[in-house]
Amino acid sequence: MLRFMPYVLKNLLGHRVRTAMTVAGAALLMFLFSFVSSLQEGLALLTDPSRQDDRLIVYQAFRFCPSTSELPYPLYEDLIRKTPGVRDVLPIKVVVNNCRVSLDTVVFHGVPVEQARQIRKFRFLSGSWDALAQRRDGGAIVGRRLAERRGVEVGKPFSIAGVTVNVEGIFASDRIGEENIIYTHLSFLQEVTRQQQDRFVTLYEVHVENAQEADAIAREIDQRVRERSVIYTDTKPQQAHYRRALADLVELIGFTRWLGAVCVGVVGILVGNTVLMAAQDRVKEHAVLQTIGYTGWRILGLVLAESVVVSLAGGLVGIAACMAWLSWQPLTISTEGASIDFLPSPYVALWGLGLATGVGVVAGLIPAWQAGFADITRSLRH
Amino acid sequence: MHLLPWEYGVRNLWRRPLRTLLTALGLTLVVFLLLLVLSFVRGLETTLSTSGDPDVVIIHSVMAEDNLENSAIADSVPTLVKAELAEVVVSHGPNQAVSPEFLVSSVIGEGGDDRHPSLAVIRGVRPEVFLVRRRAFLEAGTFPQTGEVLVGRLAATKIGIDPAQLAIGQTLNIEGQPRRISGRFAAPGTFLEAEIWCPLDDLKLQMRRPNDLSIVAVLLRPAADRKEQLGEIDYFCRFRRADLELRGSPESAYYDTLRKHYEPLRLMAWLLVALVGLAGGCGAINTMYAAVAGRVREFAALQTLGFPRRALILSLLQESVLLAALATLTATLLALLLLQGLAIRFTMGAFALHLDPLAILVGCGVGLAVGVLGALPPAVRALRIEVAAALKAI
Repeated sequence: MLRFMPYVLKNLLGHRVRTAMTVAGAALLMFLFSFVSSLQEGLALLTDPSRQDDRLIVYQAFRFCPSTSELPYPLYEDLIRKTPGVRDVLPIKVVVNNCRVSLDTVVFHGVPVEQARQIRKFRFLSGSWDALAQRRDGGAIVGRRLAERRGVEVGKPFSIAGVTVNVEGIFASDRIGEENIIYTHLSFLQEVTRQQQDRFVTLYEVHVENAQEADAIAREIDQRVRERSVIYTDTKPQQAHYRRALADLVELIGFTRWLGAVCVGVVGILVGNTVLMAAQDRVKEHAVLQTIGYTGWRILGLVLAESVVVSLAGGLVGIAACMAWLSWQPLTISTEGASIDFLPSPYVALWGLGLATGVGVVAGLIPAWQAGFADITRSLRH
Repeated sequence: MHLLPWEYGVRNLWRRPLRTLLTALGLTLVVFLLLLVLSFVRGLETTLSTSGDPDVVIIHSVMAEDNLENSAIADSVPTLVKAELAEVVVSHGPNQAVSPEFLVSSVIGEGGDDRHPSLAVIRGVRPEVFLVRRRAFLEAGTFPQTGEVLVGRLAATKIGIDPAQLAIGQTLNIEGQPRRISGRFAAPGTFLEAEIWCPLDDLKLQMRRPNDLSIVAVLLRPAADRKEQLGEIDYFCRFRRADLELRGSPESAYYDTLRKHYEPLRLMAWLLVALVGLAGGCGAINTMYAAVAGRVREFAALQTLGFPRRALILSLLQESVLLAALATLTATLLALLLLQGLAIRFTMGAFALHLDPLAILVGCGVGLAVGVLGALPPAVRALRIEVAAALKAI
């Protein structure tokens, strides 16, 4: 079939406007499809239940909004550290500028800096943990995605949600969602949000020695808290915590799956219509080809090849445009302090291209069949 | 001007029935997609604007202007408001329209079993809430007593469970405490409808905050000078009771702020609308190009018979617009049947997809515009060819 590609391409280029419109339409729709797929990919990676993680999140029971979870500090930290199987504990106070669904959420994590630097293995693009440690009165380090989104620069102040910090560094991280966070001193954030100093944090991040035992350790932590205090906790693996925080958004994102499916359907109709028009315009030509020895299957293959080339071309343009845009302008959607990145991953691109190819095959089947197995005599008289 | 008959355009659509049907199907899907996105945007916008009563002012803590769930004020504030702002607040006899409220966002389970925790907004209220929240009314059952709750009509959507599980008499588990559902309330077009309401003091005790409230909502007298009323409230909050660190915000202004937060999301939705509309346009142009390409000689023959080019362009427009109108009508009917009123779970609660006249106008307008713009370029191109040359075309 490859040796017939020049013929296929000639037929496509012979009707430039038709081909261009089909490719453009398919590209727009595949752009949309890739866009929603990249959001779904970001959600899937964040909440994948099969990923064994050594992190547990200790949160106030029955709460999901960061501003409503208040756990005594350092009382609970001491209690958690003594639980068998716990390797490390990081208390975190979370402040967000907007708890609701937003494309522009800023999340502050107030942490004890000396503890955080042992746990968080960041790559600093500028600044350092030392610079943050020295600036106790409002220093902060900013994740790369957030810095790019907000135009944050090192050495300059940054204000939002009633919190003003001085940027001491910008970091990059391989962990999903980490680059959407601003880290600052716990005591500074508690003071700014009018919490009595050293009394409350939003959550404790617990690192366990053995990820297989995470569930058992979580239950043990909650049991110990229940025995000692009236502010109960609900400890979960980090993925499960995100799934709960994002529960309202998960349904909306599931709804976009249908949007993506409809886009693919419209691509199929667009391509199918174009191939049908092309086949109907060349009825005589196909009949002549058959009289000189081309089999019906060969004709079917030629028409199908046109369909796949057009669909794939549109898919390639649309997917590439989406990937390029998301790489140039990273997008993040957040709610309740949890963030989902739009991830323009190779998986999304390959999946999109595979679908575009499949749609090309399905859309072109009927016109290709009609073209390949039409009555020769009737076709020659067309 | 000598025009082509109407039937000519209609007949031409059925020359290639499969092609016409495919184009119509594609356009129907495109317009349906448009209406889907528009209904979401309009539903959210409408609920945000309806939720904010222009005559209601929310008194909250200073730091919680954007997130009322973070507000914590002294529970003496309602008494002070009734005493010091009696002139600006609506009264029904001895009852003033002042509603103290306590807001909690919590994970709840259904029944006594916590298998399916879901996110809910719970509001502690007193019966005065119906004096202030004018869109809310008791639809069935009774106002909750201690150990009971009142559920909104969309609460099941927000929680993500079958509405039958929130029927009157069923039990709801709130932070480990089972509560009987005593009734159901409606607050059409507002986010309140997705909430669960408890007796105020009951909820405060359960949350271990007996001395706190979240907000006090007051209904202002409608006939008075609104600026003066707001000035009174502002003076009360900032100066007379500066120690309580209060602020008063018109409820409509609060929801305006929320609307701004959702602006990027709405812009993204409009971008989707534009992309889908453009894709539909490509399909329509494609079909019309094909329709015109095979009829160059026919158009030339019609011109020799005396029909001017404008008449031919109008006929092509007629075909394209007819096809687009059919697709738009089908898509609109499907959207009204399947989407109108469909409840969507959202972070603030839940809202219904809303195909209002604006959404339908935009959706139908785009559908018809696709029909017009799809026909023009091929029509103009085909009719540029000289008649003599066109008559010889294959």
